[in-house]
Amino acid sequence: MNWSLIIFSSIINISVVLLLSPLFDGFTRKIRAIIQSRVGPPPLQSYYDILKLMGKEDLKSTINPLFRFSPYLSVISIAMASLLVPIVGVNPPFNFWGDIFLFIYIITVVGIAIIITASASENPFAYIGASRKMMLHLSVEPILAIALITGAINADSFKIGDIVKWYHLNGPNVSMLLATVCVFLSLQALIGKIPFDVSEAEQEIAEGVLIELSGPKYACVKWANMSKQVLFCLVFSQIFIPWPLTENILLNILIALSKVTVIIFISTLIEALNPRLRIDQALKYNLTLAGFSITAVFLALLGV
Amino acid sequence: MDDFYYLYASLGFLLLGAILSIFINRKSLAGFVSLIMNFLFSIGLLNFSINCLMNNNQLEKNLFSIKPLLNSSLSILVDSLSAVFLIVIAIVSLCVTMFSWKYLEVYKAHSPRRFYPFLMLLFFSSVGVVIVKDLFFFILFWEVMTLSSWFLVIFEGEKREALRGGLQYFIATHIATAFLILSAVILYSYSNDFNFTAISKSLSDILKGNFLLSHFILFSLSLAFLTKAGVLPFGFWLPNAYPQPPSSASSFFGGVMSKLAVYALLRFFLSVIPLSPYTQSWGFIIATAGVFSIFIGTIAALTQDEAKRLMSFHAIGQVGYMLLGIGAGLYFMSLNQFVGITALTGGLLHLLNNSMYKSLLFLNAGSIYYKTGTTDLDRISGLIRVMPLTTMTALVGSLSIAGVPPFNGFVSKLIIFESSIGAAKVSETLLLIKGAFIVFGIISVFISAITLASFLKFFNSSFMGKMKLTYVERGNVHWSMTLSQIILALICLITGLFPIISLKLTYNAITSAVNLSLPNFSEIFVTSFFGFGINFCKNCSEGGVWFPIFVIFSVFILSLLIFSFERYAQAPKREVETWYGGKEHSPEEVTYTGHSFYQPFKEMVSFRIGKIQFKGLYPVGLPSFKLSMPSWIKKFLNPDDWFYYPFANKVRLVFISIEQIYEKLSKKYIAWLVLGSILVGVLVFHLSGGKP
Repeated sequence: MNWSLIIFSSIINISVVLLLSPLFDGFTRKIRAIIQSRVGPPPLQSYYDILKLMGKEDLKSTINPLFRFSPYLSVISIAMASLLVPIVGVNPPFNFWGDIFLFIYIITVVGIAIIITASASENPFAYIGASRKMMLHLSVEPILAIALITGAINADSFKIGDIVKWYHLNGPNVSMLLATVCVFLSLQALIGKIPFDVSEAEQEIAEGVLIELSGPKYACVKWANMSKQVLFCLVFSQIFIPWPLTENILLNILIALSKVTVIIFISTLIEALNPRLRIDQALKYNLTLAGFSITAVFLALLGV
Repeated sequence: MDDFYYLYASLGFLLLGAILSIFINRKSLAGFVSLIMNFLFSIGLLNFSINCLMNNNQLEKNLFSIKPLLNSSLSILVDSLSAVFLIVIAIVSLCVTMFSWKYLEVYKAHSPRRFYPFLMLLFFSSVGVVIVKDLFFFILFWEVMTLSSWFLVIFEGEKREALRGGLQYFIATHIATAFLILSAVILYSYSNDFNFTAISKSLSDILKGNFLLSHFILFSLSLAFLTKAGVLPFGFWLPNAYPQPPSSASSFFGGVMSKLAVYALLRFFLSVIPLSPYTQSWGFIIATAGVFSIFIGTIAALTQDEAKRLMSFHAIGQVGYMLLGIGAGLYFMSLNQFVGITALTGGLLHLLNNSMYKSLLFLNAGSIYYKTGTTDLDRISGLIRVMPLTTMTALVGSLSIAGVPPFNGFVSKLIIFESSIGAAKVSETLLLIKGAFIVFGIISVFISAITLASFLKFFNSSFMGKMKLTYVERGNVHWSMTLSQIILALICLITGLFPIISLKLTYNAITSAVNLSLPNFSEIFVTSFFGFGINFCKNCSEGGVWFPIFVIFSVFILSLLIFSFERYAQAPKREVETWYGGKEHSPEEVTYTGHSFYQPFKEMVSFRIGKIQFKGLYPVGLPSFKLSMPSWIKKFLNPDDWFYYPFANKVRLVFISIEQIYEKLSKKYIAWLVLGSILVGVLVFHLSGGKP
């Protein structure tokens, strides 16, 4: 095990997902403004927002101790999930730590953290948001799981590094292409943006899960949401489109960043041009997609 | 002095506890005596089983035989598989008795004499089921277990639901036992001996020759154990019966008793029935039944609004995971031993983990009942203010059952998923079967999220939110109740962080039960102190890995960073009222009850076929038989009225009269003594022929 590479690449991963995410958020805000014929905020506005919120008054609507800890857990679990995504090479930095199921479950922990924050805040709006978030999660999780399992069957290994290595070497086959398409179609739901932002719908339930949060806690959850966008775009671009991949580490990082930028651009276009779905519509869409994506597993079994 | 000394001693303490608790009517004293006896029992049993595991040997002994009557003898066999179960029984029974000590005070109108003796008898028969090596005594202990648990189910005999649930439990398990006895009789007619080794020999003859008979025997054995384990569709009785007894007894039911059925399945299919195409096909059937109950049981659990009923449905779902692992293991055992043994290990490991968190969750429900007098999720909320430790243990239990890393549920679920999907690597299998196993794996991944959803609902609606002020007057939860929950929660956390110990235990248990040459532990699991990797074939690189220890490192480092950031920011803090969108509301007006959770999803899985309403894919309110039947058939089909209630009332009357006899006994003891000595004197005088 090359420890210096592991430490270097984990620092790179965490800083791309956590530190660069407000920049990407600023990018999406600018694009949305341009589409809606506005000037829009400066690109660094999201950094200013987070820094400002960190110093704002922390209003506590409850004495529940879980309310104090769980917002931070959402950021921590996103950082840990980022360690399982390859950026500098074929292998993710913590490839020896766990496999696709660990990745799926760490994403679940992000949801749990926000749901527990919401329900600890004792606000009925937050409860509605939490309930919706859980439903959205349980409908979208199978799609990602099935896509990763398709890769695992093709690559004969459950480790993300091995799946990416196989995919990069053998090129796309029918089953992996299908899985890639399915993950792309569920990307907005994974990120939790329009048309799938039912758990934080401002107009309906007043930001739902975030309603009682303020100050540093609000900053944390907002930061986690921004990082989640970068994380899932990275998952899509690095695991399901692992080309081009070079020997040079710096070049790989640059390629990854440019791919993520493109995907975030597409995702922002979808966000800006679509209305919000109702929760039952979102559920039907996701579960249908999940049922459809099982085809990819059978194709992988047939070896195509 | 042999190795069995500790076993005898511990069972002796248990029986002593059962006998003593018959005579004590004061709840706290009865509870305390049972706790002491159970503590000694657990210590002895733990010592015995750890000794057995350390030396990794099989202890065998013949106690006595009933040769003139039947070719059967009470012989004991303790191998690693039994020892693992003995450890589970020791831990869970201690926590259950510790919890019952103060908990039983909630049931003001009921005597502890109707609880502790049966509880002790249940523990005793559970140990018996695990250690015997003889089919006749196995059935005997099995029956004692069923009966003693039935008495616990009808503990609150005046409640109609308790009697109904008890009746369903009684009938379903006895039909299952009838099948067990039937197969035992058939096997006895071939082997002329009830010993497992003799039965195994004659079974291998039957499996070679008689196609129909061998399938029938396997069918009746599977049916008997699957019914007891609560696998759907045979487990229809479980959600009605498990919520009825006091929570501590439910905890032992859900944590250990239904798992003993899985033990029986493992014991019969691994040690008694020789490996053959028959076990392979029944392995597939068991896996299918498991996945069916995972799917239906867990989705039905999502629609429940009563904590203990919700957990009972999860007991059905969780047993499905074990059966998926065991079934896949039986199927692949002869094709690819690596996948087969991994699946079996995963199934058994899930059983161990499950018995810890399932008991914990039932105890949590018991604490809620103790504090509030109800377990209806719509009527409770905000309990974290009055029972913070119970809340934390409930969180650990909920996350464990949902399989969230780094808790123990994740380890076993990971192994089950990977071995089930690892079917793709077994090239000798039919494509359809491979696809089926992979779909099973995907279903169980999906259902795992549903488990999380339904336990977050339990957790959020009972412990989070505004507290209703009506139930603060009740007494605080006693430290013994909290302690028993904390012990189980710590076990969940530690076995999750250091999976290697329990993994090795379960692997040894499986290999000791199977009499085949199997790959070494180090060939399958690449282990270190921090975690493990799994190899799915010989000499290939590890396919799946899980090193939980890095969770601690990352969480520690990142929390340090973020908390220092918060400290640096120095945001002022202020307490405010909850904001209801600018309106003034009392918390009761706007509470989001447990019933409201996941309403759109529940509507998606609820529908109606003909006259049957399905709620969460589970039929509710089956139409009654009132078509054109004569009234006597209706009367006959409703055995509650003509058989059960009179019978149960008679049983209760018998108990009351026994109680009275005890009371009178002490007063008229001397009278009895005098009368008895006169009788003996007359008898002796008569026998000696009138000559003194």
